Amino acid sequence: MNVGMTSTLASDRTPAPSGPNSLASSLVASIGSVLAGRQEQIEIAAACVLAGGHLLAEDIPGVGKTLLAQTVAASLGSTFARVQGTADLLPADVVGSLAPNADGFGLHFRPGPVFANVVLFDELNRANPRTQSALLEVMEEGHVTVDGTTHPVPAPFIVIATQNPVEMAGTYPLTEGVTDRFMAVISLGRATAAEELEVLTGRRGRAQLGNVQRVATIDELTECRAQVQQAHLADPVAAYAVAILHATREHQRVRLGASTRGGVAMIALAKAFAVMDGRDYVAPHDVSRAAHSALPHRLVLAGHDRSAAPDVVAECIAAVQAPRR
Amino acid sequence: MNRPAGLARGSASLAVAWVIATMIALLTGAAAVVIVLAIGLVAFIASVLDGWWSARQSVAPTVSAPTLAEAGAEMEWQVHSPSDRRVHVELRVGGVVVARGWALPGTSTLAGTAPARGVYEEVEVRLSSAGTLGNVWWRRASNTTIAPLFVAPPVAAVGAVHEQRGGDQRFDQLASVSPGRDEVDGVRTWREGDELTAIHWPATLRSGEFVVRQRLNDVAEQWSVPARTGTVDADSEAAQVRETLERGLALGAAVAVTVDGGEPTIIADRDAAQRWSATFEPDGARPQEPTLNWWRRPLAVQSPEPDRSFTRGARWAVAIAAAIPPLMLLEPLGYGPVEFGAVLAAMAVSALLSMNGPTHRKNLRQAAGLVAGFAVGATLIDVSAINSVVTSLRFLLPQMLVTLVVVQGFECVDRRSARVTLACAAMLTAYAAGIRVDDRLALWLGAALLGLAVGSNAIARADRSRMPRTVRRTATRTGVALTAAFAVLAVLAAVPVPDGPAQLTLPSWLEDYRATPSDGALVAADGSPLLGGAVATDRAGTGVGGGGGYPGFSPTMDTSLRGALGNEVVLRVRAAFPDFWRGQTFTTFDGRSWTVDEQAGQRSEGPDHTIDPTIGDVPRDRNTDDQFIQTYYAEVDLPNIVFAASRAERVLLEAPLWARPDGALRAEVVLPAGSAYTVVSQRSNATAEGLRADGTIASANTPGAFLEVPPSTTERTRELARQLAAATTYDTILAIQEWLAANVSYNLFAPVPPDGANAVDDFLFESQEGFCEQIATATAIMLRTLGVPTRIATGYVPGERDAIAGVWVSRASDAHAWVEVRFPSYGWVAFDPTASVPLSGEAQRASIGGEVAKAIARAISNHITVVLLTVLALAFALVVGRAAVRWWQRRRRGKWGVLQDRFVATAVRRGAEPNAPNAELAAVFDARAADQLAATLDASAFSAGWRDDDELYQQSLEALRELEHSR
Repeated sequence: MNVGMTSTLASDRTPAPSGPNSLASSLVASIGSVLAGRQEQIEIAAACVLAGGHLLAEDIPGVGKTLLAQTVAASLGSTFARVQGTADLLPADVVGSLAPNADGFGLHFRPGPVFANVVLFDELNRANPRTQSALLEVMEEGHVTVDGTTHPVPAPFIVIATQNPVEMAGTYPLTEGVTDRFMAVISLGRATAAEELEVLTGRRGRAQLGNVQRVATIDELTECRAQVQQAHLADPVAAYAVAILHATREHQRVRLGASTRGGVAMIALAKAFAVMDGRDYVAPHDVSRAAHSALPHRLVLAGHDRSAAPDVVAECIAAVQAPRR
Repeated sequence: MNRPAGLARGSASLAVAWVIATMIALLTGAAAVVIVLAIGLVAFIASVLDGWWSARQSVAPTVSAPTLAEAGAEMEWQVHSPSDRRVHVELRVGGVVVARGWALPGTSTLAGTAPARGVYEEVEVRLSSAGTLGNVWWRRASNTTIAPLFVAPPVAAVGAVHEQRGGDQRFDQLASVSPGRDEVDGVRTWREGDELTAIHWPATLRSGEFVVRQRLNDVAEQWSVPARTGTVDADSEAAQVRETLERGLALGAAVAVTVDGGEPTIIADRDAAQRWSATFEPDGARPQEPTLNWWRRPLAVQSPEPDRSFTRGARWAVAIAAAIPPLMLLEPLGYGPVEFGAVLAAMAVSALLSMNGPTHRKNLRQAAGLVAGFAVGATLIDVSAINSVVTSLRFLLPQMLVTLVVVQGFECVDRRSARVTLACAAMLTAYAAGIRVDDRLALWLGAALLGLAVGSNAIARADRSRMPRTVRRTATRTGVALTAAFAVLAVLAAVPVPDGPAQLTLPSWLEDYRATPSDGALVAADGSPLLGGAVATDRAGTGVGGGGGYPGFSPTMDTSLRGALGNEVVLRVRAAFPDFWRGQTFTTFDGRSWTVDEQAGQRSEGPDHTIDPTIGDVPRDRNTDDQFIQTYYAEVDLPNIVFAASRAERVLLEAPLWARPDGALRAEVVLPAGSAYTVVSQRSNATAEGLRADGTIASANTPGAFLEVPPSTTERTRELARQLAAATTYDTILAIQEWLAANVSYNLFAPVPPDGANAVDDFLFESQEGFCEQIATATAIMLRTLGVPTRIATGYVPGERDAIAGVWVSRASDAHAWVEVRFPSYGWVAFDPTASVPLSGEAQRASIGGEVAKAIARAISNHITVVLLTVLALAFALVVGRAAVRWWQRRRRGKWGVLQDRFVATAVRRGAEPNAPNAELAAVFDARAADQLAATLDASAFSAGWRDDDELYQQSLEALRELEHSR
C-alpha cells in the first residue's frame, strides 16, 4: 500500500502523521501524477471528494475530464462506472431496472451503473431531461427508488459529470435543479505546453493511470469526511458566506441568485479546503475560494449568458467585506 | 504628453475676481490686497501644476470590451487602471467618443456606445485630471490595443434578396460540416423570426422565457445571400445581408454569403453573421460628416470637467467661505450683530435651499432670494443718508455688493455658480482688505483666505468621496501645499510695498462736517478755539483732543511742559515709507516758549488742494523724487491740524484748507474719528553725502526770523555751539546730537526750569534732563547761534508698522517735536536723534514679504514665552492625544484587533482590495511572513481552539513591523 509512504511524506509539513490532511495531499498528489498541471482544479476535485459532493467538469473535449474521474476512482480504490449521455438514454439505463427472473416468474432489480463509488456521467447535457432528473434522487439522497423499492447506492458515492459548454447544438441545457446538485464546477482548461509535452511523452496522462495506487480505504475516507464536517465554522465566517449568497441575489446581472443549498455546498467545500490546508477551522479565504467554484453554475444570469457567471461571482465576493479579527 | 484641456466651469469668474482685486490694489494701494493677489496667483499656479503632475503620473489604463457589438447600441467598456489615482477617462474609437467616465484604481466598467460598423483593434484613451482646486484640466491621450471588436450594423428592417436551394452539391457539403443539425429534436430559446406555433409551453413556463421547439431534419434549405461591394452605403448593404442571414439561421437553414458572386462563405451562427457584417467592405463608402475649418466651427466650448454637481458638504463649505468676507467688510463700516445676523441668516437659508441642485424647489428658492435680497438691503442701507448720486456711489457700494453676494447665494446650485459665489467672496475680501486699516485685518484675512481655499477644494472634491485613500496621494498633496506655501513667501518677498494710489484715486472723506471760524485759527477737536499756552494739565487726554495733552498742538508751546499722553491709537497712516507726520512749525522762541506765526496763509476750497512752496522750501524741479502718498485715517477726534509729510504738494480733503506761510496746514473743519484724507508729498532726496556736500550753510538769503535767538541766550550756550561746530553743517548737527546723547538724559518728567531762566541754558547745563522738545529747542538755538536757519516742528512719528494692512500706527504717545534745518539744496530737513526716521533720500523700499516676516519675528520675540508654551502645549496634546487614541483603539479592538487593523492598512497601501480576506491581503506582500501573519490573525479570530500567546503576539508584531517598513 502506498498510504504509509504518502503519510510519512506529509508528516514534515503537518504535525499529524495521518489524518484528513495527509489523505487529501496524497489524493492531490495521486491525481497530479496522472493529470498534467491544473493544480487548482485538482485541489477543488479533491476537496469535493473530501466534502462528499459531486463534481461538474465543464470544458471542451480532450482536456482530461474523463481522466480526472478515472484517476479519482483509482486513487480511492473504489468501483467505477461510466455513463455516456445521449438523447435516447433512459432513466432505467442509468439507475437500473426491473428484469425478469431467470425462472421467468417475477422481476428482480438489476442495478444500473450508478451503483458504483465513482460514477462518471459523460456529456450529461446530451441526456434528455428525463434522464437528467433521474439523477436527482440518487445524487441528493444516495439511493434509487425503482418500482417503490429503495436501493441504496454504495458509499462513498461521487458523481463526476462533464459537459461541453461550447457545442450546445442539440443538447438539453441542465436545469437549475440538476446543476444545484453539484457541489462544485470546474473548468479544467488547457494544459500548458510543458504539460502537454509530458502527456505526449507518456510521463503523464492515461498511460500513468495503471500506476495509480490506492491512497485510502473506504473507511479512511469516511472517517476523513466526518473530520471535515467537524471543522469549526465561526459565526462571522458563516455570516460572510451568507453575505456572498445575498450579494449574488442582489447583483444586477443575476436573475436568480444562489440557493441556500449553494451556501451549504460552499461551506462544505470551504471546510474541505480548510482541512486540506491543515487547519481545523474555516478561514474567510476558504469561503471565498469555495465560492469561486461552488456558486457560478447555480446562478441564472439575465440573458442566459453562462460564461459571465464566474466574473459575476468574483464581483460579488469583491463587494462583500471579509470578516477579520 | 500632457495638454491643457481647459478651465472648469465658473473658473473664469475667479480670474475676473483676481483682475478686480488688482484694480482694488491699484485704487487703495493696500498691502493686504497685494497679499490676497499673491496667494491667489500662487494657489492657481500650484493647482495647475498639481493637475499636470497628476495627469503625468497616471499610467495609461488598458481597455477591454466584448468582441461583438452592434453599431450605436449600448455596450460596456472595462477599463483597468494600474494607477492609484482616480482619473476621468474618455474612450474614442475612430475619432468618436464611445464611453466616458471615472476610472478608479483597478477595474471599472464604463457604460458607453458601440462605434460605427467595422472591426477595431485600437482604442484611444484620453485621460483628464485637474489639480487640487480643480480649476484647470489637463489631458493626456494614448492608444491601447484591444481584442478585435466586431461591430455589426443594426439589423435592417428589410433584408437582402437571397437564393434558396435544396439539392445543390455544394450546399450538401456545407450541411455535412455543420454537425448536430440532423439529430436533434428538442427545444431552444426564442429567436427573432420564430413562429408562435412553435412555442414549447412547458419549457417556457419552466425557464421563464420563450422557448420554442426545434425540429431539425436534414438541412432543408440552403440560403445563399449575395452581397455587393461598391454600393453607395456599405453599412446598409451589410445590415440587409445580416438581416437575411439571421432570418435564415432562425428558420434553420444553412446560410452562406457570396460577395460579388465569389466563393460562398459559410455562416454557422448568429455570431458569425454579425462578425461577417462587421468585416464586410471595411473601407466602403460611408457618409462622413464634413470637417469644418477651425474658424467655421461653432464657438461652444465644452468644459473639460465631467461633473456639474457638488455635495452638500461642499455647499456648506462654500457658504462659510462666502459668509466671512461680508462680515469682514461690514465690521469697519460700523455694523453690529443685527446686520451680521441678517446676512448670516440669509446665507444659511440660501445654502439650505440651493444644495439640492438647480431644479429642486426652484420657485421657492428664487422667491426666497428676492425676499432675502430686499431684507438684507433694507437692513444695511440707510436710505436717508443718500442725498446725491455721488454719495450713493461712494457710501453704498459695499452694502450693495454684500446684498448682491447674498442674492447670488440663492443661485449657487452647481459647480459653476459655486465658483462664481467664491469669486464674489474673493472680490469682497479684496475690497475689505483695501479699506480696512485696523489690527484685526490679519485675522480676518487669514479666515477669508482659508475659507476660499477650503471652499474651492470642496467643490472639486465633491465626487472624490469614493476615492481610495493612498499614501502617495497624501504625500503629493502635502508636497504641493508646502511648495505653494514657499512660493507665496517667495512671491511676497519679491513684491514691494505698494506706494499708494498714485494714479487712480485718493481716498478722503469726513465723518462729520463741523466748521471752524473761517480764519484758519487753531481749533481743538471739540470745536473750541485754542489760545496760546492754553494747556489744560488737569485733563490727561489724547494729546490732541479737547485742548489737553500735547502742547505742541497749540499756538504756543512751552518747552517745559508735556501733557500726560495716553497709549491709544490716534492716526493710522498708509504709506510706503516712515516719515515725520508734521502738524505745526514754530519759528519764534522767547527763551521759554515757541510761538506760531499769526498769518493764516492761503485758503483753498478743495477738495483737491494744491499747496504752493512756502518760505525755505526748495522748488520741485531741482530735487525731485517720486510722489510720496500718505493716507491719514483719524482714529480719534482730531483738531483742525492737517498732518502731512514734508513737503505737501497736494492734499485731498473734503473741506477748505489753509496753507500757512510756515508750511503748516489747517482745515476749516475739525477732523472727527473715522475721517480720512490723503496727502501727496514731495520728498527731498537728502542723503548724508548730499547734505555734507552743502558744506557750511551761509546765513545769507535767509529771513532773519529763522536765525533769531532770544536775548536771554547765555554765552556758554554759544560757546558750546562753537565748540561743536564741524567742517560741514551736517557734521555739526551730528556732533550736537552726539553731545546731547552723552551729556543729557531723556526724562519725560524733567524738572521745570526756574522762572526767568533760559530754558535752553537750564537744560544744557543745569538740569541736563529733558525730552524731545528740549532736545529739539537746544539743537535749533545752538545752530542759530552758528548762523544756520532752523525751526521747530511738532507732529507724530510713524510708530509701529502694521505689515498686513500696510499702515503706520501712531499712538498719542508718539506725539513729538523735532528740529528742521534748512539746507540750500534740499530745503527743510528734519533731524531727530530719538525718532527712528531715516533721511528721506536714504529710505529703502521694503517688500511685503520682508515686512510680514519682520512683523512675525517681532511678534514672536515679543511673546516668546507664550509661543514656547503654546508649542509645548500642542506637542503635549499631540502626544497625549495619540496615546489616548491608541489606548482607546486597543481597548475597543484588543491587541490582536489593532494588529489586524495595521495589517489591513499596510496591505491596502500596497494595493490590496480593502474587502479581501487576510490571506489575499497577504498575497500583495509576496512574503512568507505575511502569509503566516495572516494565518495567525485568522486563527485568532475564527479558530475554536485558539489560545492567546504572548510570545506569538510578539512574533506577529515583529513580522508586521517588518512588513510595514519593507519595500
